[in-house]
Parts: sequence; C-alpha cells; structure tokens
Amino acid sequence: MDNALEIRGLRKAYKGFALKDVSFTLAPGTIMGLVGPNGAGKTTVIKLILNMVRRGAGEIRVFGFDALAHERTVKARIGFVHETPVMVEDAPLNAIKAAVAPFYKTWDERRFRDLAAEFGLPLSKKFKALSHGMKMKFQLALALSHHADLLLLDEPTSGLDPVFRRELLERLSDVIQDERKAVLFSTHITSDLESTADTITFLHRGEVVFSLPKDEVRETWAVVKGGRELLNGGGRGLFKGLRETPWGVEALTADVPAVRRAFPSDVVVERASIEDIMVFMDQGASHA
Amino acid sequence: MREFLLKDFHLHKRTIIVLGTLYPFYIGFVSSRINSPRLFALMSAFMYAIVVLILYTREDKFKAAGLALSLPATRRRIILGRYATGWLLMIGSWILGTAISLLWPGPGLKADDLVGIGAVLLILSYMTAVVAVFQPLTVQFGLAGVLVFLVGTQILGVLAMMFRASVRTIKTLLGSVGRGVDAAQASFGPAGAVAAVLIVLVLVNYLSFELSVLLFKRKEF
Repeated sequence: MDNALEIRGLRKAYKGFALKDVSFTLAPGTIMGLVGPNGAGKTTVIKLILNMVRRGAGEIRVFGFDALAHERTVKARIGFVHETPVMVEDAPLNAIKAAVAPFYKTWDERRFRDLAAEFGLPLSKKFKALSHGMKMKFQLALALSHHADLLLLDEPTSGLDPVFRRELLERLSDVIQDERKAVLFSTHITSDLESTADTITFLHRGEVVFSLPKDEVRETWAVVKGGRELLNGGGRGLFKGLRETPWGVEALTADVPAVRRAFPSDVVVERASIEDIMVFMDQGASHA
Repeated sequence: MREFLLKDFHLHKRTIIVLGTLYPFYIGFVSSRINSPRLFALMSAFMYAIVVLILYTREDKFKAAGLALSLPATRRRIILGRYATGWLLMIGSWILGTAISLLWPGPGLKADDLVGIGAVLLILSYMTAVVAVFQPLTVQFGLAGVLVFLVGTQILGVLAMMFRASVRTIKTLLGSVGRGVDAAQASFGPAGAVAAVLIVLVLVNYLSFELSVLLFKRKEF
C-alpha cells in the first residue's frame, strides 16, 4: 500500500529562513506529530503539501500521487484545518458549507449535520462572530465531512479549551481506525503528541532532526545530568544541546551508549520528553 | 465550473443581490437621461465590472484566497472560475439593466441603442476591455490593485482634462473600440461583424486569462 504522505528533499527559501531537504513518510493508519518551536517550518511544510506556496525543490506524494501533477485528485483526499482560519468572515457557516461542499464528490451532508450538532456549531451565525475554538471546530467539521483520507491539521489545538482539545485528539485516533486514513498535525504543545501521535517528525530551523516512531524517540533520546566534566573532553560532541544549572550541567543526547562509555561514572541518564528535546535543541546552537 | 459559481454565489450572496440589482436600476435611470449610446455602453460596462470586482476584493479583504487553494482545484481552474463567475455576473446585470432601460420612461436612448447588434457588440467590447485589465490587477495586487486601477483611471481623467491633446487621445482610444465594431459591421455585414468581434473578444479574454493564471501561479499564501 502507498504511503499516505511521502516527502523527499523538500526545499523552500524565504528571506532569513529556509527549509532544507525535508524528507519523511507517513504510513496509512498512523498519526504523525510535526513538532518544533515557532518558526521551525511546520506551517511551511503543510502549505507546500497544499501548493499554497511554491517549493524550491523536492517531491511530495499523497497516496502515491504527485501533489503537483495530480493536484485536484490529491486535494480531494485531503482535509485541512488551518491555524488561522481563512474564510470569508462575514458569510454564515451555512453559506461557507454550501460553498465548499460541491467541490467534493464524497461530501456527506448527514455527517456534516451530525458533527455540527455535536460541536454545537451555530450554522446561521457569521464566521467572524465565532470564537477561535468554534472556528477550529467548524473547520474540523468541514474536513471530516468529505471523508478525507489524509487530515492536515496546522496547530489544531492552539486556543482550544482542554475539554475539546482532548475530544479532538480522541477523534483523530478514531479517524485512523480503518487503517487507510492518516493524520499529520503540527503543534508545539508537546503533551498532545505524547497522548496521540504514533510517529514524531521534529523540525528545527527548517531541518528534520528526526522522524521516528514515538517509542523509538523515547528509547533514543535522553537527558544526561552531571557535573561540569560534561563540558570537557571529547564527549561534548555527543550532545545536541546543553545547559548549565545551579547544580551542574544537563545535556541532550541521541546516543546513550556512547555517553555511558565517555562518562562512565557520576552521570544520570533520564528519558527525554519531546519538550526536553525541543528546549535543548533550541538552546543547542548557542550553548553546545 | 459549477462548483466555482456556487462557491461565489454562496459566499457573496448579499453583495451579488444588492449590487446586481442596484446598479442595473441606476443604469436604467441613466439610459433615460442621456443620448450617447457609446457613453452609455462604456458606463454600463464599467458599472457591471465593478460588481465583479467587489466580490474579489471582499475575498482579498478577508484574506480568504487560501480557502480556494485548500479545495480540490488547480490554480488554473480557480482563475477560470473567476472569469466564469465574472462574465456570468456581468451578463446577468447587463440583461437586467437593459430590461429596466427599455421600460424606464424618458427621452434618452432608444431600443436600438440598447439591444441592436452594434450596441450589444459595443458593450461586450467595453466589458472585455475592463475585465482584461482589472482581473490580472486584482490577481496580482488584490484590493490594492483595484484601488490603483480606480485611482489611476481618475488621475488619467484629470490629466486628460488638463491637456486637450490627451482628451483627444483618450477619445480616440475609446472611440476606436466603437469604430472597430462599426468597421466590422461595414466590412463583414451583421453576421460577419458578430463573428469577427466575438473572435477578437474571446482572444482578448483568453490573453487576459493566461496572464492572470501566470500571475496567480507565482503567488504565495
């Protein structure tokens, strides 16, 4: 079976920022968290998949179809939720739905009505009258109502209350139950990933640091805590980022066995959370 | 193409109904007060084109072009949808405006000035001229493009008033559209003129469309 999403050597340059050879694959039946600090390039990757910005180089395939050569086919299978909802703001939700629905052969009006009722969407209200959370719910209802095979969600949980955030994440897990659909969602809220994502692609300053199953990330990455000896000697090259604390030094590594060999005693190795990785990587360039 | 027409209708229903009714009524009133078919055609074309222009400036105002790009459509089809919606609206407004003009009492234009072959070809030519300019402008510059166009034409008008030679130039330019239609009728007869003018109009629309596609493909959202 084709990958739900396959990205190879993707490049995009802006003034002061560039995506550099971004590559990863998303298998059907999985949820991928695209994670990284603000400005890492997460939204740019999603916009490139949708051809909203022009790529510098690289290839994007969705269920085996080239995203440029088969743009219509590809987009018909994608459901998109934008971080900053872009709609004609003074149109009522009903009108927006009526505008969007004819584009999809697979549009399921009954499903839309059910979701609208479930999310408590006031369909006669204008889009601009909704709160941010309700706007996200409306976008999600649109994305789910044409039975999209690939859901692209750009920071879907930002601005949502904890109750709906949990509901949303549970719904994403439901979406992939039939093993044919897949979800890619970008976020910098790492707790969302811990509970939902099967694989994690970590972007930092336009580059993929890793794209791995969540369990493998847990096994590979670790925080090393020790004294100032961590700052000295050849072992320092094993660290992706480090910081000094009042009690010593903490460092991030992706090679625990090598760290244990280099510093046989007096270091504590703990499993790194996604948040640890993000924080250390962000500090890495200036401190490591 | 149906999906694009429905999209624009649903998203801009109120604007279409209000302006698409108001402008034809205004045009109907004007037709009863003036006696220059050429001026009337130019004014009508511009007014009907503004209805279309307002739709796309609304999208630009709300930065909603991203919505169209997330839908299953290529950029080329999105632009094709714009031209189709635009022409449908202009033709619809024109039909309504002409019906109102025919019924509006007054000493102004006669029926032949409104629905004769020459009059129809003339208004289609002016519509094409306006669309051919403003569609690529709105694609490239959005609301700013529209303002540039409107302010630009006003400045041109002021300059023309200041320089008599320019007045003659602009008169000649605008008149050339009408003279072209007249010449086509004289050379090819009514049927031949219709065919010749329509071919030219389709060609101008096509070139404007291709330019808009080229500009839109370069845009980032």
